[in-house]
Amino acid sequence: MRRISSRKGSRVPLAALLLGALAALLALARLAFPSAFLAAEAPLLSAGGAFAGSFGGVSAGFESARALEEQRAALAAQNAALEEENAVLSAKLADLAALVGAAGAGAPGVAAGVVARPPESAYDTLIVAAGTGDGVAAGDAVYAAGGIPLGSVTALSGGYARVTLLSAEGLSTEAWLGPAREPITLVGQSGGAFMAEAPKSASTTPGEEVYVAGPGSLPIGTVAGRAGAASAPFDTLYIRGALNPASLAMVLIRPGAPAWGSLAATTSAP
Amino acid sequence: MRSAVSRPLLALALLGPLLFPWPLCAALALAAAFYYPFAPAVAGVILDALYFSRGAAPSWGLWPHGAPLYTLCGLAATFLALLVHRFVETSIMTS
Repeated sequence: MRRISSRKGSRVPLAALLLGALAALLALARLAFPSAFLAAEAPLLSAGGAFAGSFGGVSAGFESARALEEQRAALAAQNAALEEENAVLSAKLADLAALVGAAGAGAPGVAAGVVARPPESAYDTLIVAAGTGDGVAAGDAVYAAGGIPLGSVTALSGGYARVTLLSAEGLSTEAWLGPAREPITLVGQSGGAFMAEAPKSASTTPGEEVYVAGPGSLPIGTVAGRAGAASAPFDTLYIRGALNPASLAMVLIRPGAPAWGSLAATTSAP
Repeated sequence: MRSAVSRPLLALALLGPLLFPWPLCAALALAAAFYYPFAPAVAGVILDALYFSRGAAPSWGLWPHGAPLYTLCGLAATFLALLVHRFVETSIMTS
């Protein structure tokens, strides 16, 4: 009995010491050498993602082949419909560009692969494989495919950057609501979701688009729901992001494009 | 037998931020706290070191550009784990 308690007594302080040293080392490395830390962590995250993904590949093998075949057929039909819609929109865009000039078309950008994304990323941040070596700077705006605004670059190393998403908890962004372009302030709720307040008199309905300023009005999400007490002057709008950050594979960083809302103040802070 | 469970659990809790979604990391860290009370604090520091960025969390008190939430939650969980460990040890000694 004495031996067991003696062994336990000697093991716990040593473990605590080692764990404390590890935490202190990591915190010091992150605070003292942020760029080097980002450069060192990104390959580890990439390897970790590949390792975790291999488990997903194994589990996918157990899914029903019939279900996969049905899903493939549905996706093929959806793809054909989208191709047609894309052709119509491309023709419309060409007409508009000829009419008003192609301002913003072919804007320079750096395409970057996403190394880590939510929910692996504990905050609404991305680690992307482009850094100062690619001409990226702190505060540059980041877009998803289709010109959907995502967020801004907030930390950098030579080959990697950390991007804070507009949907980060508590982050506020000025936006417009619906075809009437009513001004609202989006507040990030994590996971690509937002909340906002709108006057009770606003005729907002679920499904309306929400836009932020950029080169034109950029769609950032749609109203998913509206709630509020009858006596309150404002209603709370629940806004679903235009895309799921967990499914991001590539992003476009536009050097020189300004950050949005409170991210601009954050990225320019000392 | 105990170390056969506790050491892999601790390893998973510390490597989890590289491999798993954060809710699973939090669950692993809390499970590891049963054996190693400091595990949640270290897991929180790892999560913040890897993913925290300016503006990514609400500003609060000492942190005008966002509080390191996972480190703070980890420290709170470690404090609770130490209290529980002390309580369990005292209960065993008095019984």
